[in-house]
Parts: sequence; C-alpha cells; structure tokens
Amino acid sequence: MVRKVSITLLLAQLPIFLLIFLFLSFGVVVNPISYLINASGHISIIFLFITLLSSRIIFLKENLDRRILGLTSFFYLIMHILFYFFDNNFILSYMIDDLIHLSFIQIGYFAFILFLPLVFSSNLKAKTILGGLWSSLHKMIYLIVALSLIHYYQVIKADFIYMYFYLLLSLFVLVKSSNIQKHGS
Amino acid sequence: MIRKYNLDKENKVTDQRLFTRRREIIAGILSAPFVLNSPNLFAKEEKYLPFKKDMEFSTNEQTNTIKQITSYNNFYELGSGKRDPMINADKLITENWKLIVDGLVENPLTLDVEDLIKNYALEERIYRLRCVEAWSMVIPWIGFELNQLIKKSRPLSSAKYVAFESILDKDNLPGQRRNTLNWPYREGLRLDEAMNPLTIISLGLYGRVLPNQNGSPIRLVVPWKYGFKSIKSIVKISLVSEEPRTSWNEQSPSEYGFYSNVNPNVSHPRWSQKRERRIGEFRKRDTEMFNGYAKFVSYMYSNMDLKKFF
Repeated sequence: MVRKVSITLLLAQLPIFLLIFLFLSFGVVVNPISYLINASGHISIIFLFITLLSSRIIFLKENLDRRILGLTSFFYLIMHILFYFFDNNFILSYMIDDLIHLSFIQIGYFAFILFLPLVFSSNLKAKTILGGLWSSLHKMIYLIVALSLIHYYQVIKADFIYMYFYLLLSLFVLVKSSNIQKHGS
Repeated sequence: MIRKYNLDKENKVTDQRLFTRRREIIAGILSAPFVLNSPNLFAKEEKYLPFKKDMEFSTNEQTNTIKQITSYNNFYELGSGKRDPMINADKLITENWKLIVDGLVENPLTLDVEDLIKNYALEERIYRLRCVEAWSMVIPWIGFELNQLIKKSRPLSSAKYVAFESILDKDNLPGQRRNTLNWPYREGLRLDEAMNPLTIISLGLYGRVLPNQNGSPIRLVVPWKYGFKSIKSIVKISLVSEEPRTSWNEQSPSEYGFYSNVNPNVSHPRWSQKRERRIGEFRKRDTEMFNGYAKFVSYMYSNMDLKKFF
C-alpha cells in the first residue's frame, strides 16, 4: 500500500520536473504562459487516462493508486485554470466575457464542476457513507474525459495529432472495459 | 578468500579517469539542456542588407528580440509546433530561388533575390504583427513596397486581386508530408490592398536576410491583417480577376475569412480577438482596430460590413 502510494506520488510529480527541464532547455520560453496553459491541460488529460487504465492494466493496478492518480489530474486541472486566470491578468470581467461567449471555456468549466464531487468523495469515509452510490458517482470520470477532449478539440487549429492519440487511448479504454465485463472480473 | 574479496572490491572502484573528471561529468549532465539549446538564429549566413530607416509607417514601440522572433513561429511547412520552424529551419532550401510575377500583366517577371536587392531601395519598417492566435510582436522588417513590383509588371485593367503562392517541396519540408493544410500555402489580397504603401515584400529583419523560419528568402508583410495573411517563402505572385483561394480559408471557411483584417469586434468563432499578448509582456493588452493602422487603411473598407467580410 505504502509502496503504491509512493510510486504514484512520484509519477504525479514527474511532469513538474519534466517541465522545469524543458524550460531550462528552451533557454527563453517565448510565450511561457501559453506554454504552461497547454502543458497543464495535456498533463491533466493524460492523468485522467492513466487513472482509467490503472484499473484495466494489471501492471498499473499493482503499482499505482487510483485515487491519487485522479487527484493528480485534478491538481493539474487547477494549475491549468490558474494559468488561464493569470493569462487574463486575473480580471474578472475578461473571464466572464469568455464564459459567456466561448463554448470551449464553458465546457472546460463544466468538466471542472463535475470533477469536484469526485474530489470531495475521494476519501475512504465518503466511500463508506456513499456505499453503492460511490461507484456510480465515480463513473462520471467518463463524462469528464469526454468533455476534456471536446474542450481540447475546440482549440485545435489544424494539427490533430494529439487528438488522434487521445482518441486511440479512449478506444483502448473502451475495448478493455468491455473485456472486463465479458470476463466478469 | 581474502584475495577474492579484494577482487570484488576492485570491481566496484570507479575508474581513475572517470573519478578525476567527476565534476566535469556532473556539470555536463546538468548543463545538457543549455548546450542542446544551441540557438538557430541566423543559421545560414550572417548576410547584411543595405537599407534606410523609414519614419512614416514604422512604430516606435519596443521591438521583440531576435530570439523571440526566430523561435516562436507559425510556419506549418516546417512543423506545427511553435519551435518546429526553428528546429527544422535548414529543411527549407532557398538556393537558386526564383520569384515569378505573372497573370494579368503586360510584363511578366522572373526575378531572383539579388535582382530584388539591386532594383529596389530597401527600407526598415518596424511593424506590429498580430497573430490570429491572439499574440503579437513588433518586428523590424527590411523590405520594399509591393506596389513597386506590381507597377513594374504593368497589370492589365482586368486585374482585381493578387494571388500569392509559397514553395512546394514535399521532399524536404517535413510539414508538407502531412495534410494539415492544402499545399502549397496560398494567400491573396485585393489589388488596392496590395498597392497600399503599408504592404511590403520583406527580404530581411534586424538588418540581415530573413532567417528560414521567418519565411526566407521572400515574404509578404501586411501589418493590418492577421499574421497568416503575410505569406512566407513566396515563389509566385499572380494578378487575377477573381478573389483567389487562400489556404486557411479553405481549411476552415467560417473561421478565416479572405480579408482577415485585425478586428477586436469580430471574434474568431472559437476564441476572442479583443485582447492580445504582446510577446514578452506580463499583461494582456487590448487589440486595436486594423492592428493600429486604421489611419492608413480604413478608407479601403469604408463601405463594407466587416462582420460579413471578416
């Protein structure tokens, strides 16, 4: 248990070190805030997928803690939103303006709001209280993934390569889930 | 027994040569990111261009650094990431470049870069560049007004538009092996826009020939329009009677119009154009109508609904 937690926590921090390394290798990051918004968004999505895969791939299941993976995704989502606030100089009227007019912003907030009950019910106590309801509630992760991918799709200009990668991952997750259901494990 | 033990230990001792250089080795590993980041600024040749400074159209705003201008580019022929054009800069082969001016003209031209440098008085034009992605820079271009070249070709009265075409080189340009856009890249202007004194053909920046990632050797600069209108690495300029096809418009007609004038009041369907991040600045700034060039260009659009003709 302790081992699983520490491996997961290590994995959770990895992107931060990677980003620092990349920042140093770039010498000057020409548009750092835009870079950080993109990076944190992608990292958050990737951790959502790792969370889903961690219950489907035995090797991951044995070595990673699913709840911490989900919380890690949420952590990078918070960073993503904070960088976005920073990008808007923390001026509320700018962000309200975005929220009214831009559908990818609306979808992004929607995914964030759906994430909140999962975060607050991630402790063992909530799991005991909620009982059977807990696992139905946590199925919402599929909706969050779908919304995140729509959110990302809406900001792509012409190069869909990462989108294809995410769709492939989604397909893999779905195939794996149907396998699990078939074999009843 | 003892002898065996010593041998084991011997194996674990670090080689003397490595040990004495341990500090160098650690420093080498730690500095790898800095060394790998050899800046590809003016990779080809440090070729300077003769020019005089322009006072009429240039802004006196702080120009962006050469590093910013050459390492944050949209040039999909060299890759779709912002740093890709710098990394792949040497994949653009500019030797023996020919520029053709044809179409509805009395005097078709075929020119090389030396002809352009020789025949046209180059000026430094310090322009704002506003990308459709809501960032901007200030760049000291070296170039000459496009209207000089068009006049030289003597357009027929039937010529109403100018069509531009970039290089097509699938063997060398990594981005052209993927169909992100319909290659070659194409752009266009209305004839009066092309004749406007703000519109320049640029051959350089910061006093030197254009770095490849900035559209070497010949590019267009139209400062009151979104950056994608300022087509890079031009091989052909044609005078035509109909509105020409343009690459981003073909890719997504509802998002990138033929005119694509910088306009804070007409947002891109998916994101806002009200504000922009000037590269290097901490706070976002408001985007200006026609990118701040309204006094030079607004007369051309006085009878047009700019929401319709975006």
